[in-house]
Amino acid sequence: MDDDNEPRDITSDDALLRRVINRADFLEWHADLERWVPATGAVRFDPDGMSTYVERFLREAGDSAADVGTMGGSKDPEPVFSVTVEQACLLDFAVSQTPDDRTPIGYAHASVERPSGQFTGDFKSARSQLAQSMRLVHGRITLAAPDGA
Amino acid sequence: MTLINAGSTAFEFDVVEPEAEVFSRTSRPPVKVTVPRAATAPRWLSYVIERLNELALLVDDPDEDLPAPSQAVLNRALEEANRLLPPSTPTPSVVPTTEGHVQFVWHKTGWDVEVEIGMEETWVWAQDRESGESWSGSLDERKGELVSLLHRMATDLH
Repeated sequence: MDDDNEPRDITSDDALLRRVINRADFLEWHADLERWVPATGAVRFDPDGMSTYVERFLREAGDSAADVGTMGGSKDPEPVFSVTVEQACLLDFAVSQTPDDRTPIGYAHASVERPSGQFTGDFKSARSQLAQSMRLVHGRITLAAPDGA
Repeated sequence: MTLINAGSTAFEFDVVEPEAEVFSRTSRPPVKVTVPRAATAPRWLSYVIERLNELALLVDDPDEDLPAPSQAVLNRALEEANRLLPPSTPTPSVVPTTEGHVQFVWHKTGWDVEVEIGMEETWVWAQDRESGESWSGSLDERKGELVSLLHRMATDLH
């Protein structure tokens, strides 16, 4: 498509996909939910925000969550988590489409931006809630729950 | 016999010889800790040591923007665990942070708790998910609340 890298409207219902590496460095065990959730190192915000991919844009182009899971040349597909734009915005994060031509699926790239002016504790709270809102939608986590957790 | 203080409690470990090398990164001098007898070992000890060993082998990955914690931070993390966590404390997740720190994390009993260990300081953040109540600060400031919360989590195990 000629306009692949033109920003398009993102709606509150849109799902944002994020690849999370299948290692205990990037996942935390949630004992109450009895499942793994992305850890601090997987929900990180550089100056350009947290990198995600809009599922609808991927689907429209014939791609899928599987393409997010194999980004970066992963030999084995990494787990892919999903969170809606609405869930992110309710926590005061901003979401914008930020096409990135450095990857084959960069046309669907979107950034989740850290709320400005938040105190560290408030940001930790928002980030933690965002991570816990994320659901595994593709791939498999092969880690065993920590013994005694 | 080794005494390790955990908050206001002191508990005893029987030392099993030989001592185990905890961190095996080649470029770092090994740190030795005593291994407690299995019957009295804190339930979190085995996993925490396993994870600290893994973090000792972590290599800086610019693509993932996750620096490897330094030897000093890993040492402090083990010391803080021994100092703070009673034997019945649920096992935490042990993750590196983007600042090169080590974080112990629990999501349990309706609370999210993070204890972040840096080179010289330790910070605590906790949040009650239902009420939204949260508190944070240096470990020195928040130690009493943390110990109380860990005790509550431990009690919930039974």
